[in-house]
Amino acid sequence: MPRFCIALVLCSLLAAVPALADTAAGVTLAASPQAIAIDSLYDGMDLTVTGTIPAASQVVVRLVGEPTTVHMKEKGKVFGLLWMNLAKVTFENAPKVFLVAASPETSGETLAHLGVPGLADRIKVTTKDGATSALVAEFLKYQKAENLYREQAGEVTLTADAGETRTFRAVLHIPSRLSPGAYTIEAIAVKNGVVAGQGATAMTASFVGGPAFLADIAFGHGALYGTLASVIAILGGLVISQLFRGQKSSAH
Amino acid sequence: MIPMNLYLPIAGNSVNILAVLGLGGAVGLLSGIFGVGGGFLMTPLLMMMGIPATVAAASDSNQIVGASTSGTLIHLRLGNVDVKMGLLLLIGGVLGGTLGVQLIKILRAMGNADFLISITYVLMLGGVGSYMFVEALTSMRKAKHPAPDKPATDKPSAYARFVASLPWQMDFPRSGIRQSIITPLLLGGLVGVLSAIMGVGGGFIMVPVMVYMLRMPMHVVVGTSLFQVLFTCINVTIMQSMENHTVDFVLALVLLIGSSFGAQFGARIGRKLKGDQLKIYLAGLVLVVMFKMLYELLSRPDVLLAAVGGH
Repeated sequence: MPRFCIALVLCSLLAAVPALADTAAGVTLAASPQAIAIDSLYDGMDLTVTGTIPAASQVVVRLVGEPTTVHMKEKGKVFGLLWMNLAKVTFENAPKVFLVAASPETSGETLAHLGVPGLADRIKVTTKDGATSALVAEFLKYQKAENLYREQAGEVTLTADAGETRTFRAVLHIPSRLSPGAYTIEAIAVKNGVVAGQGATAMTASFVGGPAFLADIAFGHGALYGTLASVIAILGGLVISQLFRGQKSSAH
Repeated sequence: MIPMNLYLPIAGNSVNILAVLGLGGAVGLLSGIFGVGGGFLMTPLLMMMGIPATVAAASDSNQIVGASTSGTLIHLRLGNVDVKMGLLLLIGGVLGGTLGVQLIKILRAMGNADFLISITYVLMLGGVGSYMFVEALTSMRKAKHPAPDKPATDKPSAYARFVASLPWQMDFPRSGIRQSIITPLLLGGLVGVLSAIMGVGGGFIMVPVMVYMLRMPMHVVVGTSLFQVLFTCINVTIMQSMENHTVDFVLALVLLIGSSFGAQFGARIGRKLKGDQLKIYLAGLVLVVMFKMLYELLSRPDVLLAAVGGH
């Protein structure tokens, strides 16, 4: 009997681990919506994240895409005149998307560590001549220009301390350039420059409606797609020419 | 409120429909005023709107399929299409277009497709723009100070002698010329390669080629060029869809609607304006686009990295 009780207690503790990860350090969070549907009218959207952090803490909220390997070309001068793509560069463990928003009183030091510049520590660069840190900085700049990595990607508001916790509300601006996949929303509480706790929740993005249909044909049935695109363009051309012919004849 | 943005899954971004319609309309307007296809302006302008270069070029080819359909029909009815010459140019164009698509595929894998598109544009826009500018300026000066007619020379040029010496000579009654079938095949092939790389119908290259190298009469040139461009662009659209997945037909359709309306108004405006002045304005516009692209090749990029491939 005592053995059974111990096993029961252990099982209960194990089952509670995910919840503890969110709440042990006093960080809870919920996101809305939890699934983004990229339809024909998708043009970016606002993601609302609410939750609690320990009292007297600041919060950094991040939307992190799946880690991926990105192959790129390094640009350099040819004949000392024209800029063109030269050596191949590979970036590993780079998140597809990385959006950051922090509460107003978060220090610059914290943001350098938990924000976009902090990614330099986790992204691995491979080149023919050996990795260089300058390339990571260029990669972060490239992703920022593509709106895939962003600091100040939204607004975060905090309430006053209520006992041992305080609540936060973040609105992240999701860009129109969002590819389908799984994403993690993280809330990191920072107190006196030290991480005081963190929590995470999952979010997904997927093509629906028109984009899902088009992407399926375009990437899965290229010949059919190309033929349909040509036929539709020919029909479009015929319809438009008939339209203007009608206008012309009615005008005379 | 009417939604103004449309998500394009092939381009991987959303665009403002009014901006795309406006772009199509503006290029169509210029096309209608100046009597050029407008593809050579459409692709770089789409690139400036944030559409990836390869998607912009391929989708523009798709748009030209629609735009050249109605034009070809009108010229067929008027008897302005040299079908025999058009078919030979077409065979060359299809082979050249296929080669061009493969070339783009290899260069995309290497990451140099955008560079090749840019450099081809700089050379072609520079060449066509400068030629038009000089030709229009000379024509305007002649109109002010007409020179006495020069006596015609009977001696054929070296090019004419070379073309006449080629085997498989054939009559083209509609154009009233005799040519070796090798000439249109080779010239069609060259335009096909450029068409695939640049995402243009090739009209602005094909027209000078037919006039100056095949010696065809102008009214047959326009109809035959449209006929050839239509089929070349169908081939490029299908090949790009199969090989590179870069054709966004929704983008092409919106551009087509804009350009068709623009072209109608452009044609009306064009009839009211003086030809040589228009040519100079168009040459100026072409040269501005060329200098913009040249500047991008010569100045240090903001980011020293480029994407490899598209999707």
